[in-house]
This record gives sequence, structure tokens and C-alpha cells, in this order.
Amino acid sequence: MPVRKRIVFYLLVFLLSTAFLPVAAAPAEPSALVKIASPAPAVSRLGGVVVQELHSCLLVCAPLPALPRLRAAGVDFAVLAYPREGVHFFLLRSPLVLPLLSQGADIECRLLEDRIWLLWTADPGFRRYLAQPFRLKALALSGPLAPAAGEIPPAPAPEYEEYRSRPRAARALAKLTAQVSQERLRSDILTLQNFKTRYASTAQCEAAGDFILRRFRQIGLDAESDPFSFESYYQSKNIVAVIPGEIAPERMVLACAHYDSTSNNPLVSAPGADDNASGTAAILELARILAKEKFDFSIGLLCVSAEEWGLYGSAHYARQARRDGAEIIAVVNLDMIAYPGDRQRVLDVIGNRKSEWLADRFIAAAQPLVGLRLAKVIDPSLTWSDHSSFWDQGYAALCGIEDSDNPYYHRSSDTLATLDLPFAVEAVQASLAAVADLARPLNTPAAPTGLQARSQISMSLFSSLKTVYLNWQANREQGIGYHVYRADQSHGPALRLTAQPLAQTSFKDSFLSPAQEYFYVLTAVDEQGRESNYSQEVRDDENN
Amino acid sequence: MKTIDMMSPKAPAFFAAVLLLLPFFSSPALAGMEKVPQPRFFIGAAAGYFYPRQDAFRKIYGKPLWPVELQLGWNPSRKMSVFGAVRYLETSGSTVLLAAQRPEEKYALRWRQATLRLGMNFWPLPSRFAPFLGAGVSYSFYREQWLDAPLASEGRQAGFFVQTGGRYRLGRRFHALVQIEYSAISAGGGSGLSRSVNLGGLNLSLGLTAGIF
Repeated sequence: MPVRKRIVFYLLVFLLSTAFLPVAAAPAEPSALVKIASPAPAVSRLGGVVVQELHSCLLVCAPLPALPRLRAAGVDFAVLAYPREGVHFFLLRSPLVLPLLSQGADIECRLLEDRIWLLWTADPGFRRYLAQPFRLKALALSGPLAPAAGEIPPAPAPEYEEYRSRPRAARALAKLTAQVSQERLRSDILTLQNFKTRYASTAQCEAAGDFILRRFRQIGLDAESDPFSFESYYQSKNIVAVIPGEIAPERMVLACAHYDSTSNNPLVSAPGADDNASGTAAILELARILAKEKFDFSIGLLCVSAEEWGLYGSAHYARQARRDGAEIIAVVNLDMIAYPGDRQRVLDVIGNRKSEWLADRFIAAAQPLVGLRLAKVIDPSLTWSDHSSFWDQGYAALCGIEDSDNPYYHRSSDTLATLDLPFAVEAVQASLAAVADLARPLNTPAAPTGLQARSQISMSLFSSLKTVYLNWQANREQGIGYHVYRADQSHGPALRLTAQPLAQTSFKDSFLSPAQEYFYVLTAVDEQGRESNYSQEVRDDENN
Repeated sequence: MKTIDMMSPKAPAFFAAVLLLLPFFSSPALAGMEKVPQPRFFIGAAAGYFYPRQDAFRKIYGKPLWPVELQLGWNPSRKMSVFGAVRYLETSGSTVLLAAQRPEEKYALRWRQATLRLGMNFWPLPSRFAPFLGAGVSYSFYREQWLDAPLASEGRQAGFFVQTGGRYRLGRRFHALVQIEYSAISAGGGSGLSRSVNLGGLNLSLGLTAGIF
């Protein structure tokens, strides 16, 4: 090739690569990345954008003119870096004192807090200089879509006291969780492991994505792949399936897991059985079971890629969801759920402060159904999985993850043989219960209150009959009817007495045996026929 | 629950025995009496007022009760008659409440009772107006039905009765009759109102008999 043509060719390559650089990699105007000790004042009013909330501090990207305003407002901050074109910023989690293998690499690191570093570099191959094990999260410094802390409307936080008296809902969830199959989990994990590697950007990873897409479609779900590019040169795809909601399909509960993997030799061998074939298999199992059910809200099932590169797949999805105004009620991210280790069998449920209600609700719905212990962890610095991308967009999200140090983590030895499948089954059951619970009962009417029962006996010469009079308080919701149930023993199997929901708040149960005690409960039914949980139980003569 | 005490069964049994034995100790000569020949067989009808002995029965079927009776009798002697009768009582009432919460709750009831009676009367002083003493046994068929509920009770029960009264001769064949009777029919287990139901009571009736042969 002549020299002139060669110059033109390289020039074109340079221009094209520049054009494909991620827009969010650096802010449009000169700015600084600063660290502000938390709790921080409302930095958004002063021109800053919270890039990342950590345990003890905030990372804030502020235009240079905003820095004097911050200082004038008394905000104590330290400038970490000045973002510029072509430089990518990451949060790096490493247990090592020195996370870099080579100090000569074109990589800058600043320790932010315990084991958490800010890393920035212009070198797309910088990962080869990082000592395993590490986790990365790519930071979007100027996302206009990323809402600042404090500006996110609170997600619905239902009273979780409600869950203590929910026999019907609990039975429905128990019925669902009983369907989780260890054999299917094992089979799916093995299939994913057999791709040899699912390192994002490899053909095997794409094939794994195709496998997940086929599985969703075999189940009968409307599924599609959502391609995205990352770090200028690479492409991968998320796989998304949706179970449409019956009542409010625009609202969605999202269950997600990343299907890509990594290791110390990622291009050759990264079986990633625990990280994260286990979470991916869980999503497939949720899809299989939940697809047969009906829910008030839609359930999204999302398998993302490029998590190991820096949460790119989930960041892509979450950004798009925010841009489209998607009403995601809650995100349940599953990442490494099959290696409990030698310690007590614990699944951590990690949330940030705004997602604490979700963690509470997850545990309230799931803990009665599983033997493993669900431990709530509220720590915004735990950003090392895809839930963090949703936190960044203001959604309530949590991560279910084993509470152990897997010695095979990010190694070629992370295989099915090292996993504890019964533990994985319970983790899937917990997630299934929580997702189903979030998707269904938010709109069901409240259980009726104030149920009272009085009884009397009508007698002739030779026989007698008991009559029970019930009354209760009307629900506050409009268009509510009531069903009455009777049992022969306290909390026993209840027989519904009303063919159609009652409009009034009283009921007469006649022609009963005087020798028998009866117990009554009520449910409220809305216009769509959705039924509440049982009311408090009363004995027939409770209020005589 | 309220239970009505019942009369001791010994006293009526004693009276019945005395009445049954009386004819064997009587004779027309002792009575002095009218020599008007009378038919050997008679038929009769009577109706009257029944006062149930049991409080529970009165509470439920509280209004006046009017049983009717048809008789067929035989006079083996001037001082004695043997009769068979069928008495029928039908009435209505309503339930009573225990632990009343809604006093307005009432169920309508219907009571039907047919009683076969076999008895003997003794006429110690045959004359135009002749008093008598009598006793007998009964066999009752009864049915209590709830009209507003799918419930009914029925049964059969034997009992006895003693009675006294008098008759007034209206002609060679006809007599007017007035009698008062006490009966006991223990029908066993009842509802919460009484542990044991007794269908007996006092019956005051007026009737007419006609000699046929």
C-alpha cells in the first residue's frame, strides 16, 4: 500500500474509533471528579452530579466553575482527577494492597475507601495489568439521565407487617417455590459451563446468549436480544424476556443476572459456574415457573453481558429504561448463588439506602419458605454487580449473593463440581418468592378489618339451629366486595360461603349445628376479582 | 336450658289401676237406676282445649290448642264402656332463642300429632247424668316441621291417660259428654329447651256420642 493511502487508512480508523467512543465516558465541559465525605449536602443544586455513592463518601463529577460554589457552600472535597476524552473511569474492587501487576502501565489508581479504588486509563487493554481477583464498574461521569441522589421519587414501600398475616399469599408462594428443580438448575449451569468461556466479546459468549434466547422462547416468552457496544471496540448483547402483567403491565419487576464470565485466562477457559451460570440458571428457572402464572405487574427476565468488564450490559439496559421512562418497581439481581462455603448457609441481600424497603420485603416474602438465612446488607459501596447500574438510574435494586469467599472465583476452576446445588435451589426459591410477591399483590385489596361474630340458637321442641351474624368494617377502596369463609376448626381449611362477593358489610350464616364451633374469616375482592388475604379469624360467638 | 319437671309416673299408674278394677266391684243393683236399655255400641266425637304440661311446648306453640277426637265404643255393661279413639292435633308456632342476639329471628313451625287411644270408662252411678272415671293407653305419631328451614323431627310414642267427667242423656241413643283428661306421653330427647319432651297435658273436651246397635 502506498504511503499516502496508508496514512489515509489510519486516519479513517482513528476518526471512526473516536466516533464510537462512549458518549458518557467523559463530561462535555471541563470538569473534575471529586470525592466528598458523606453525608453530603445537595451537590446537585451546586452543579455537581453524583457519580457513585460509596460507604463513606460520594464521587461527584462537577464542572470546574462549580468547584468554587462547592467550596463556598462549605463542602469539603478533594479533587481526584480531571476527566478528558478517551480516558475511562472505573471503580475497582481489589482485596490486594497493590491491585496493579505493573506500576509502569498507563493506569492511575486512587484508594477511595477500604478495598475500593478509582481507576482511570486510556488503555483499553488495561485489565491485563490488574491482579486477580478484581471487580470493575465502569463509571458514567456525565450521564444526563442519571438522576442525582435525593431526586429520585421513593419507590413503593409497602408495610411489611402486612406479610405476617398472609396465609393465602404464603401458600401461593410456597406452591410456586416447590416447583424449583435442582436438576434443571444443574443442567443449565452445565450447559453454560460447557461453552468453555463466556467472556464478553468472545463468540462463545454470544453463543451462550443465543442459548438463553432460545430457552426463553421455548418457554413461550416474548424474548429478544438487545445488542450494545462497550469500550469502543466490543459488542455483546443482553437477552430480555417479559411476562406481561395483567393489571398494570407498564409496571415491572425485573429479575436479572449476568451470563458472561471471566477468569485468569478468560479467552480460553472461564466456565463461571458460580459466577454467574448459577444466577443465569436461576433466571431461566424463574422464567419456566413464572411464565405459567398471572401477575398484576409485568415480570422482566434479563440476562446481561459484559458485567465482568464493568457492568456494561446492565448499564446499557438501565440507561435505556430510564430514558424510556420504564416503571421498574424493583430489580432483583442474582450473582453467585451456589457456593455457601463452610460457613453458615447465608444469602446476602444487598441494597442501598433507597432499596432497603426492597431488601426487607424480599426477606419477609422469602425467609418463611427457605432454610438458608437471608441477611440484609445495606451498603451503597457494594457496587460490584448489575444491581448497581439500576441504583445509578434511581431504581430500587438489590443483589442476592452468597455470603462466602469462593476460592474458585474468577478462575478456570469455577465449575459445577464445586457448587452446592441444594443451596442454589433455596436461593432460587427465595428469589422466586420475592419476585412473585412483588409482582402480584401490590394492587390487591387490603384484608378486611373489624370482623365481629355473634351467634344464637333457635330451638323448637326437638331440634335447634345456630345462626351466626357477622359484620365488619368497609374497606377504604372503592368497588370492593367481600367473601366469607367458614372453618370447623381454628385456622382449619376454610369453605367459601359466598358465591358472589357481598356488597354489604354483614352476613348471616344460618342452619348451623348448635353443637359445633365455627370460625370465620373474610376476604375483600376488587372489581377485577383479585382477592385480599384473610382477615383476622373470629369464633362464632366471639362477640356475644 | 330449662327443664320441666314431670309428674311421678307412680300416681297415674295407681289411678289407672283403680279405675280398671272398679267395674268388677260394681253392680246395677247398687246404683239403683234407670232401666232404660241402651245400645251396646256407640260412636262419638269430641273437641276441646289442650293445655300442654311442658313449659317448652307452651312457649313454642303458645296459642290455645284444640284437638279433635273420634270415638268408637262398646258398652259391655251399664257401668262400663270400652272405647277406641283417634285424636288429632295440628298447630303452628315459632322457635325460641337461646343467647338471643337478634330477637327478631324466628322460624315458623308446624306441629302435627295423631294419637290412637284405647280406654275404659266406669260409670258408678248410671242415671240421666252419669259421672265417670276412665283410663287408657295411647300411641302417638307426631311430626314437628320447620317451615323456613330444612329441618323436621318425627316419632312415635306410647303413653297413658286418666280421665273423668260425665255424660248427659239426650235421648235413647244420644249423650252429651264433658270430660277432663290428664295424659303423659314421654317422647324422649329434645332440644336445648328441655332434655326430655313430654307431649301430655290436660285436655278439657266436649263431645257427643250416639248409640248405633
